[in-house]
Amino acid sequence: MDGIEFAGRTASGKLRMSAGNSGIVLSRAEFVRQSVMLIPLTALRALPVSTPLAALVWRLTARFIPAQAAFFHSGWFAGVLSLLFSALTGLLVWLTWRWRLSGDRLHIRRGIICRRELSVHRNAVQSVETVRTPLCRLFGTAYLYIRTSDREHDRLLLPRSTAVMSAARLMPSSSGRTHNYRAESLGLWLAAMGSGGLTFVSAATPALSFMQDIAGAAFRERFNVLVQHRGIFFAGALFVLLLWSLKVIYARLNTLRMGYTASDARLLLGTNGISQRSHCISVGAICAIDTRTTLFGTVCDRHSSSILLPVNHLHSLLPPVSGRRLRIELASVSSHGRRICTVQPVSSGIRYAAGRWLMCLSALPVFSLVRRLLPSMSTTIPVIGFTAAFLLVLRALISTAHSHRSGLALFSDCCELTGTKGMSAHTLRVFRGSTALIRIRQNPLARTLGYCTLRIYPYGSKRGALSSIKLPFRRTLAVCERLM
Amino acid sequence: MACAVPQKCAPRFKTLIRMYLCVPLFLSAGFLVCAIAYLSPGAALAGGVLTAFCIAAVVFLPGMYYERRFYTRHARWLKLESGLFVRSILLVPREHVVCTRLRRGPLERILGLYTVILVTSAGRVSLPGLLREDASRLRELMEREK
Repeated sequence: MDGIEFAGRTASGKLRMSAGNSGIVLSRAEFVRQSVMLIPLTALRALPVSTPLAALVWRLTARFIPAQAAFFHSGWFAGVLSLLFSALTGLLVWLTWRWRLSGDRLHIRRGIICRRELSVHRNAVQSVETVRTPLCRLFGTAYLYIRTSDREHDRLLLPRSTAVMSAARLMPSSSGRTHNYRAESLGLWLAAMGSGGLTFVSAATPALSFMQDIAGAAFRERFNVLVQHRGIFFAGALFVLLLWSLKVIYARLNTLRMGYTASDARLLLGTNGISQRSHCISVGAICAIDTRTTLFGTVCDRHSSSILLPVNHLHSLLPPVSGRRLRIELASVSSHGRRICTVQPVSSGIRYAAGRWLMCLSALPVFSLVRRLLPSMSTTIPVIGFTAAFLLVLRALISTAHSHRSGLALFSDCCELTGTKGMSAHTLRVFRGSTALIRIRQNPLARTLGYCTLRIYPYGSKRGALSSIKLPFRRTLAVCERLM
Repeated sequence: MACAVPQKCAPRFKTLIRMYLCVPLFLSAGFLVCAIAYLSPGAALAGGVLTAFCIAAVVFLPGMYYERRFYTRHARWLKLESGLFVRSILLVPREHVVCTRLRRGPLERILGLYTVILVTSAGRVSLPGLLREDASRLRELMEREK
């Protein structure tokens, strides 16, 4: 069974890029409505808004209804009103939201009070995604997301085959060789465990300590045993662990049979998990590729990569894979040209991350001081202090481990900047013409010693920006001016 | 239009910075007066130190900041250098400037200065303290057909 919507699979299991002819007529002169399933789905989404509105209407009209009509004074009537409002909203949206694909242009009309119309040429479409949630699969429909360089994206709910054919029509046709890749199971598990895991645990631990302190202050007389022996803390920790395990399993189920196919004109990413997703990206719209390595990945040679499109659209390419495989995959998407020059940091190793190591040393004394000022938070403050120190040490370790790879490399068609962001090392490959802004900063010490911090912003993506520290100032400035 | 020589802002920009720095000076002077009249000698001493610091800032900072702020118009990009203690250099490619805006606050209108704001896909970049001719020349360069 194939979960990739754009095409089927060949006999050998590879993705087929071109969709077959299903006999569906896509070019239309008139606007057509979306799938009828839009009515109940929109009604469900409108329920949180329509319920208080229905309650308000019910309260306002109650005085005009005779007392004998008991049903209209009961809460059941408010419930019926709420369902009615939701259904009406769904119906109105379905009636007013229409689309048309004529020639190479897509038109979408929507809005009840404020009418809007989108008209976009297929050349301006950067990526198209089809998503089939379990409900969609039940009723044979699919969501079609259309993304352009605009910040807003548009969505249509269509019958499955219409969605697939429309998506294939909107993207450039591929020619030449294609490369197929399938994600490894180990990589998918690592990605599921790693995604937000550290943030999750770092936020939960101080929160539990805070609860311990509050409970201790409020309920010490009643629950002395529980509070004294850190019962709440450990019970909370078990609960957090359970939540995290469920999150990991959910993330893993969402990435079943993940893979991608690359050709010269487009990139096709697909997953067949709880929701089936297939994402087609125009290669010409890619402005940068971000490769990420955590501390664990540094030890085990595991790296993951993401594609940056304009307007902050970020898409994961594949979960953590080995360095050799990553180079092969990235070469299939885009290979960088001839190397022109490189700029490496002025120091490496511990000296490179000296500032970060100093921050680690200062964390515990600072929190000891805070603990003296807030004696009631006897558990929370030390836990926050140890958590902060742990994260700072991780950050310093990753900076030290990747110090020898940090820096800027200029190629004929792109530039690569390697630095540390958060708890992982990143390599950002920005293609020529996609650099929106370059910022070079020097604090007084750096000015004295002759180095600087470089930050590159890919086109339309503040989130994708990356910094590299302790680069020689004059050489960095010269290379950046050459990049312009 | 494009000129690889670093260009400074208008000299009146120093006056504008001085006017902005007068606000904390007045506030600290007010705090000093209140501290002398109503609070402890310690608070008065702190107010005095703060006021002295603000006076020094009003006298010396505008000139130092003005000397370290300039921009260079290249054919395909703009380079902005600024910063007193932490030096910052911004390189803005012309093709990624979405649009340009002009801003004039009340003090800027009194002094005849303009602030050019370049809106790029990665955020906004401000260039204050320009005369009218310089601002229009810069906008023209940025908006010229790429």
